Amino acid sequence: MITTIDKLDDLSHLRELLLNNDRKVNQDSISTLESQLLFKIALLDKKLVSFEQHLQTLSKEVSLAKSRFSPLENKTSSVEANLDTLVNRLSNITKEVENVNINVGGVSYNLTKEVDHITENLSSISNVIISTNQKIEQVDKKTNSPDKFATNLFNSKEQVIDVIGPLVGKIIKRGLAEEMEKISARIESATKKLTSVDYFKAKFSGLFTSKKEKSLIAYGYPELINVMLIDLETGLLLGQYSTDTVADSDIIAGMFNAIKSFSETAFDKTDSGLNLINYDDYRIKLKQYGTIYYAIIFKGRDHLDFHELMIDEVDYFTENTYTKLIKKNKKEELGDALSLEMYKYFNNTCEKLEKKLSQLAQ
Amino acid sequence: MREIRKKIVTVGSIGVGKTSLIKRFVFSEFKDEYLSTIGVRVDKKTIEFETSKVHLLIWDLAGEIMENKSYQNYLRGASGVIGIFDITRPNTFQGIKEYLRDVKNIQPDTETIVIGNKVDLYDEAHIDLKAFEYDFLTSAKMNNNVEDSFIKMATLLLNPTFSESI
Repeated sequence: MITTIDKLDDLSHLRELLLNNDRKVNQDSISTLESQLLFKIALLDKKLVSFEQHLQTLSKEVSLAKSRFSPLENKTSSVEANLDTLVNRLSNITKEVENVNINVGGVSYNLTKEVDHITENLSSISNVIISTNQKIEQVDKKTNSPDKFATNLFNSKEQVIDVIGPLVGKIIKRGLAEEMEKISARIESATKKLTSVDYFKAKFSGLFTSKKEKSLIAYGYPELINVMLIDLETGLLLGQYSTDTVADSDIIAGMFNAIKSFSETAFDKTDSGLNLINYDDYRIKLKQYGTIYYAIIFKGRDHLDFHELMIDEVDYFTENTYTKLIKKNKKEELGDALSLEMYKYFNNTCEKLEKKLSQLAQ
Repeated sequence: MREIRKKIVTVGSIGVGKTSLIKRFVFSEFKDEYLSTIGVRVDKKTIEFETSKVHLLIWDLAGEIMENKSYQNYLRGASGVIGIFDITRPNTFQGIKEYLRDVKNIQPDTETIVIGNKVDLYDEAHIDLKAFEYDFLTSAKMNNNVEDSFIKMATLLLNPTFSESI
């Protein structure tokens, strides 16, 4: 570092040189110049000190920045190294993919080539689609008008009939043939059943065994399922006899009433005259007595003898048991008492029915 | 335990939500799509009180039937009638007034209650509820007050003079 004293020595030396070389130089002028120079040197010196301080600060900051930059530099070099590894791996994978072969049915195919081939095919298919769409649009433009289409269709109806007619005919013919086959199969099955050894066995076994009813039911004779006694006005179930679990009897009774009301409305009558409902394999016979009616639900083939028997039974029950009960209780409070009486009575009816059917079997 | 069966009928214009209310009460489920009714449908719900059991046979009449006088045939023998209107359609309330007038003419002893349904749409409808006279505001969709209204009807049927708590 250059100090102020060193500079003063230099200036003294300079003055001596000047004085020795040129005697005409004014001593005062030299002194003035000297003082000015000294002042400027002092200013420079100050600036130098300030600069030196600034340099020290900068040096510290650089040092700090270096310390911070160092780890980043390490990381960058690490990332660069990883990147190189990845590039190498990618390159290897690409090479491997290029060399992948698939064996299909003993023939080896190169995957990359096949993919390229498929892509080319897709591209050509896409072109075909575009071309087809353009053609469709052109056709649409020509025939899109519904009026025009209708006119064309009308004008060419003879040709259309010529084309469609035989097809429709075939369809109808085939449908009819299928239905005829089904009907024939049903008739054949029923005939076989009625003429089978089992049927006759059932008939004869009925004479000697207690299982005859079940045997006969299997051949379509009626099976009593339920006898419901329903209030005509409200549709509420008053009592019932049941041999099998059916859906909620209260709802069924209500629906019977709704159907009765509907038929009365439809035919504008006070009494619907509805006395038999067929539903699937079930028959429901309705029999009215004043403000109540019975719904007798049975399964299997309808039989006149069965009808007669059931009507006799409900007549007798109404005249004797129901009339007695209703004298003692309010209709809506008959409840369990009525159902109990119905159970006792119609259980006996089932036995009568069994006898009747065994007579029929003979 | 005393056990009784009673027929009740729901009346109201097409689309007021009769079927939805019954389905909500009987099956506790609700389908959001519009459920159109065809003809007559009977459902059953049993309500148990402390000393009694009431089996309600609920007749759901199709809205189409309500459009002519033929619906009166189905009121025969009904112990209770529930009139249902849609709070978003004030004209359906006018319909209820007419139906209930018919009910009282045919069967004066029939118990009646009036339900304003679809209360879940109240905010959107911008209507003044003071314009209606009703016993319950219900929402079949949100299951609001549905059970309460049917229980109220059962209570009335059980003993018209005083209410019995559950």
